[in-house]
Amino acid sequence: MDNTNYPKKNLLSTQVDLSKFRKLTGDEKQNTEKIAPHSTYFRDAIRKFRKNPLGMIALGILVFVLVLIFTSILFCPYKYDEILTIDGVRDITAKNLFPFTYSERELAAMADGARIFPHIFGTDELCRDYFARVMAGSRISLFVGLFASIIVLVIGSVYGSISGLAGGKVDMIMMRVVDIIYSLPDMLLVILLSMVIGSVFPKNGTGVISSLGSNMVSLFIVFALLYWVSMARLVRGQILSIREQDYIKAAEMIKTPTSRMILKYILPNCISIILISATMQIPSAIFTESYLSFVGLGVQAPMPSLGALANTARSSMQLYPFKLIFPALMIALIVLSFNLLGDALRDAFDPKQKK
Amino acid sequence: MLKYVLKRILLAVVTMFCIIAITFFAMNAIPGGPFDAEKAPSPAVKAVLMERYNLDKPLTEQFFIYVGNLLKGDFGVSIKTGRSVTETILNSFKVSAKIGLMAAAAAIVTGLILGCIAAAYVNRWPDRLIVAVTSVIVSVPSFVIASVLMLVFCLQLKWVSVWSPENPNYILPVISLAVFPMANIVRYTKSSMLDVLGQNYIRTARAKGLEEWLVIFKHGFKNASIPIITYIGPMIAGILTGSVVIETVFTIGGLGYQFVNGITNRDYTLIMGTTIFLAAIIIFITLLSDLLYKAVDPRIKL
Repeated sequence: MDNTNYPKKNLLSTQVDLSKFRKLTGDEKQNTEKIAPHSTYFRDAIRKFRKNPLGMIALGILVFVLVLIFTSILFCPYKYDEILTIDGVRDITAKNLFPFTYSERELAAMADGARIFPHIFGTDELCRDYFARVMAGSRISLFVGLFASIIVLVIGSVYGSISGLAGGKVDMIMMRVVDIIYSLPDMLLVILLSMVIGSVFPKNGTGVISSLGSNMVSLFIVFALLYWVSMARLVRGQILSIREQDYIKAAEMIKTPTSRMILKYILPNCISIILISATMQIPSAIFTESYLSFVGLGVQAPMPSLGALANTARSSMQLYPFKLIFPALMIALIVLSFNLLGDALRDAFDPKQKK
Repeated sequence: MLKYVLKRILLAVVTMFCIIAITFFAMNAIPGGPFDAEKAPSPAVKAVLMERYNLDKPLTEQFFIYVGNLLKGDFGVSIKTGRSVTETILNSFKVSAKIGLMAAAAAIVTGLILGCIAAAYVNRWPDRLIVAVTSVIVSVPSFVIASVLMLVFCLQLKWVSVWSPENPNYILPVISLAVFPMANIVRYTKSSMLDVLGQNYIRTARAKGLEEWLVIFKHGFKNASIPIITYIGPMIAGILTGSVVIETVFTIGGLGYQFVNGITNRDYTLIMGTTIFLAAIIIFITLLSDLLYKAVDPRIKL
C-alpha cells in the first residue's frame, strides 16, 4: 500500500494514522449500503404510510370517488339542472323514477329503437337525472371543502407564524384573540353569520358572487372568520417547538437572515403536519355545508350539494328512500376516506402526535 | 390557581360580550327592518312601533339598552308573534335540556364502556368492530342518521311512535343526538386508556394476580378518565347546538327548533335571544369543565 498521499503524522498528535486503514472493496461497500439505506424524513413517512392498510384503502376509495365524479361528466349525458326531454318535449312521466328504471315515454321511445342512458340513481321530483345531480353535488361539496380548507390554511398559517415568530406581547395579544374566537360556539355563529352575509349580498348581483351563490360566498367568509383558529394554534405550536431545536440556535448563531431561516429551516420541518391538518378540514367543511343546507342556508337551487340533496330528500324519504341514501352514502364515503387518510398520514408523518 | 380561575372567568366574560356584540350588530346589518313586511304598516304606526321597540335611537344606544335588558334577564319581545322571548326560551329549554341531558348521559356511559372494551381488546375483533362503527358514525351528518332512524323504526317497523308534545317518545331523538359524541368519547377513552395501561402500576396490578377487568376498570379507568373530562364540556355544548338539527328532524319544540324557526321566519329578536342563551350555556359549561380538569389533575400545566 502506498502512503505517499497521506498527510504527515506528527509523533505526539492524536491525528488518525490513515496508513493503518484500507479502502473498502466494492463488495463491502455494497454490504454497508444494504445495512443502512439512505432515507429522508419524507421518504420514510411515505414508506410508513404505504404499510398502513387502512390508509391505503382510504386513498383507494378517495381516488375511485374522485375519478367517478369527474368522469361522470363525460359518460353521463344528463346535466344536473336539465329536465329530461324526449325529442325535445318535456317528459313528465319521468318523475321520481327508481334507479335503473325508465319512464313510460322513454320505454316507448326505446321500443322505437332509441338508445337511452339508464338513470343510475333514478330521477327526482322535477324529472332530473338523480345520478347527474348527486355527482354534481359531490363536485360542489368537494369544492367547498377544498376551498374552505385553503382559506383556513392560508389565514391560519400566516396568523400562527406571525404570532409564533414575533413572540412576546404581540404573541400574547394575538393568542388571546384566538382564545376568544375558539370559545365561540361555532355552529350557532356559522348559521347566524351565513344568514346575515347571505342577506347583505345582493341576490341578483353580477360577477363571481352571483355565479357561486351568495350563500356559498358567505360560507367561505364564515370559514375565514371562525375556523382558522385551530390552524393558527397548530402552526404557532409547531414554530415554537422548532425554534427550540439546536439547529435553529446554530443557524441563529451564524446570523442566518430571517427569511432564509423561515424558508429553509422552519417551513420544511412543519409543512407536512400543517398540510395534513388542512386535509382534515375538508370533511369538516363538507359537514358544515350540509348543516347549512339543512337549515336552508346552503348552496342555491338548482345547484346541488350533497347536504342539500339529502335534505330535500328527507321530505319524501318514506316513498323514495334511495334519494336520501345516495347523497348520504357519498358524504359518508368522502368524509370517511378523508378521515382515515388524515389519520394514516398523521401517524406516518408525525408519530409523536398520535391522538 | 386563583389567577388561572380569574383569567378563565375574564375570558368567558369577554367572549360572552363578543357574542352579544356580534349577534346584535350582525342582526342590524341585515337590510330591511322588522316592519318592512308585505303588509307594511302606515308611517305613523311604524313610527310608534319604532319608538316602542327603541328602534329610532342610534345603534350604539340600542345596543346598550339591549345589554341592560339582557342583564335583567329580558330578551325582548318576538317581532313576529309578540310573545316574550324569555318565556319562549325558558319553555323550550325545558324540553331541550331533558333530551340533551339524557343524550349526554347515554353518550358518556356507552362511550366510556365501549372505549374501555376497545382498549382491553386492542387490535382484536371487538376493538376493530368498535373502531369501524364509530368511524362510520362520525362520517354521516346527524340529520341523516336521525332521518334514517325515524324512517326505519318510526315509519317502517312502527316500533316507536312519532314525537308529539302530548306523547313524547324520547328514544330516537336521544339516540340520534348521542351517537356522534359517543363515537368521540370512545376514541378519547381508548387512546387515554392505552396510555394508562402501559404504565408501571398497571403492570404491578397484573403481577399481583388481579383479574383483568378489575385492572382495567378499577386501576386503569380512574386515571384514564381525566383527559376525557375536557371533552365532556364541549360535548354537552355540542349536544345543545346539535339539537338544532335533531329537533328539527323530529319536530320537537325545543330551543334548536325555535332557533331554526326564527331563521326561517326572520324573527330577529328570537334568533338573538336563542343564540345568546345557548352561547351563555356553552361558555359556562366549558368554563366549568376546564376548571374541573385543573382541579382533578394538578399536574396539568396551563
